[in-house]
Amino acid sequence: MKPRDLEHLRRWLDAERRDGQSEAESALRSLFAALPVAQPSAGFGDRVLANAARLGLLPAAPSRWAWFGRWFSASLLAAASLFLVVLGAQLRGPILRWLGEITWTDLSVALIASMGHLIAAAAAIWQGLLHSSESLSLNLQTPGTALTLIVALAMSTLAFRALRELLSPDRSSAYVQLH
Amino acid sequence: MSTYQKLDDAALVRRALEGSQQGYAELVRRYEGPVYSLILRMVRDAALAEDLAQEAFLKAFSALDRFDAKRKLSSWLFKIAHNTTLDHLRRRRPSTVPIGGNDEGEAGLEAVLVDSSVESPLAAAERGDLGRDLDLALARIRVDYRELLVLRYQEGLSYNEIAEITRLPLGTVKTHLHRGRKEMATVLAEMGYGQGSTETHRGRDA
Repeated sequence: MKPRDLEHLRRWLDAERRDGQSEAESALRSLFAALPVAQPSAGFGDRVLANAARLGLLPAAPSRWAWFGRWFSASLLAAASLFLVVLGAQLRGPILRWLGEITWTDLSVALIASMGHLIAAAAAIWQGLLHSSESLSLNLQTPGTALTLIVALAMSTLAFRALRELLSPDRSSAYVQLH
Repeated sequence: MSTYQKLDDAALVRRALEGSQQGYAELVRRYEGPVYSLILRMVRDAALAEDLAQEAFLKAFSALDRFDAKRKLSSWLFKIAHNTTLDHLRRRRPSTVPIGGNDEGEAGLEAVLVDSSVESPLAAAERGDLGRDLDLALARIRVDYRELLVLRYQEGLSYNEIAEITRLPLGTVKTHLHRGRKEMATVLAEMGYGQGSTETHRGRDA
């Protein structure tokens, strides 16, 4: 506090006695400028930010290694592209030679044979499904078996729901336990 | 000086809303002093003032997306600080000492100040304690006057801004500021500064 501040004080008190509004205001403003400046303790800002982050009020801080992840993905993509280009260039000759050797008759025979195999496989699966449904329907006609099946279905549904509830908070890789 | 320190308030808020943590940090760094100072003058307790200032900043962060960039950030923050402190004070009895005593039989400031064993205030001022005495005088006046005085004379806000922050009519703000100044002048006069105000003499003559 300097003598000048004491002068501001005298000026203000005089102005108040004389009801000099504007002079009082001006002197008081100067006087307030001389008041000790209050500051919070060291680290106040850090504490505010830490609490704000804890309450989810701040955006997530970018990871120190985020740049590495970005560069790694880009490099991987570039390497994979380069590999495919080189592979294409290497295999171009043999593929063209193979395509040159093949005839339309060979191709048609191979196609028909493949389709026949597919139909046979599908028929076998269909036959198996029919057989299973027949067995199931026969078993379900027995009340004991039907009841056991319904109870088993209900229990597995409940177990699945419980398991899903348990796992859902951890499903996200960004999930963080705050408390 | 960092890039963020050069930004104006509106740009700073924009950066913070875009997800910059540095924006939030600069916002706190820029206003922690004024917000804390206002609250401290109202509650007169450093630890409590820090808690309330922190609460005010957290409220501001959570409502930052609703901040109108046409308004002054400082006024908006002061308003949040004012409301936070007022909520606290409403839950607690304000700790002011009435100048003339009160109905509950407390002697008041006049009795407190009449103590010849205390060093002369003018001598104290010569030792550089005027700042502390001003702070003390400010602490002795009504909390609502005190807040208005700080907003007006320390933070340099206009009457309109103060009215908006405190939600008081403009006329009431002016009246309270006038009374607050008179009350503080009286307290200082009682402490021995100046020649003594007219109100003080009237008080003693009565």
